[in-house]
Amino acid sequence: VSEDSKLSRLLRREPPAEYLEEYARVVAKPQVREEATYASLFVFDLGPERVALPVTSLQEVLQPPLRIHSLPNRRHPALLGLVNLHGKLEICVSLFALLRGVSRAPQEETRMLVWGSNTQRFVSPITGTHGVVRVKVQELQPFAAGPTSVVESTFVLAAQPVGVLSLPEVNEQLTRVLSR
Amino acid sequence: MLQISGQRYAFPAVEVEEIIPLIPCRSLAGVPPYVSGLIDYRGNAVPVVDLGTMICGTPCARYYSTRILLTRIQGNLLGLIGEEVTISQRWNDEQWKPLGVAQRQTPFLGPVVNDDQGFIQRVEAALLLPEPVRAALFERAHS
Repeated sequence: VSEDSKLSRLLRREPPAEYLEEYARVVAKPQVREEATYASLFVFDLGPERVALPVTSLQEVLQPPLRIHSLPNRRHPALLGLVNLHGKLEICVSLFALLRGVSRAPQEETRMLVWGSNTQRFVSPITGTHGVVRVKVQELQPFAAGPTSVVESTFVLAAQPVGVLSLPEVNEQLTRVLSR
Repeated sequence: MLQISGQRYAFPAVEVEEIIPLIPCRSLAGVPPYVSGLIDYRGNAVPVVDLGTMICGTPCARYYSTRILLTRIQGNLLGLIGEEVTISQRWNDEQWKPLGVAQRQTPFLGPVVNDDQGFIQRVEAALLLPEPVRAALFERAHS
């Protein structure tokens, strides 16, 4: 006996009147279309800071972290060096430095995030990941800590605030760091 | 896919707005017997046709698998009751063959495909209701 015919036998029963009445009430209600728009964000930790980037900018999460080849003349805490990513040299930058001004978070960096666009990608050490969340755009609270803040908004995830990084601002700051 | 008296029929999925259980219909007077009545669908009175009565004179059994397919005819919502509405299947246009038999009583039954279990006939929504019935039903539903 095929699964199909088992299923149709199971459904060849009269449903109780209450079920149909309940369904009739459901069907009579106007369909509410959800108007909210959502942002899909990848949430991760930079030491004590819990932050998020748009999931579209995320390319890969590497575990364990790659070895960083430091640059002898590096002059900025955000510029960590170069990493060998699948045989290509990529720039390794510290997102933590953009937030706190020092290169490394106190916690152990367990993974590396590959992020950016098709034209420019970066590799950044992170200390933990919390997956992708969908947040209603209306629930993102604008965050204005100053004109150079890389955090553009915040939201609360599991009772903990998460700072959403502004990609344009992060890119601009990194461009400045790299052109020094 | 649906069944009427054990025979398999197909209704184009693109024309189905929603599939709901066979909820009670409010009966109507002065309509052909295949019109089961009206249902309240999202606040609109929508006429419902029993394909069982329409095709072979016996109403569809009141089972879980008997469902109402909501479709639109010339922009008007219409419910179609069919049995065994449990699966959907995909065919290419060229797999449908004309029946080659005149069906004056049931012009809405279209071309057929066959598989290892026999024929499946397509229900053409556009031809489903004779014009006077259509006019009466939709005028009633709107008023």
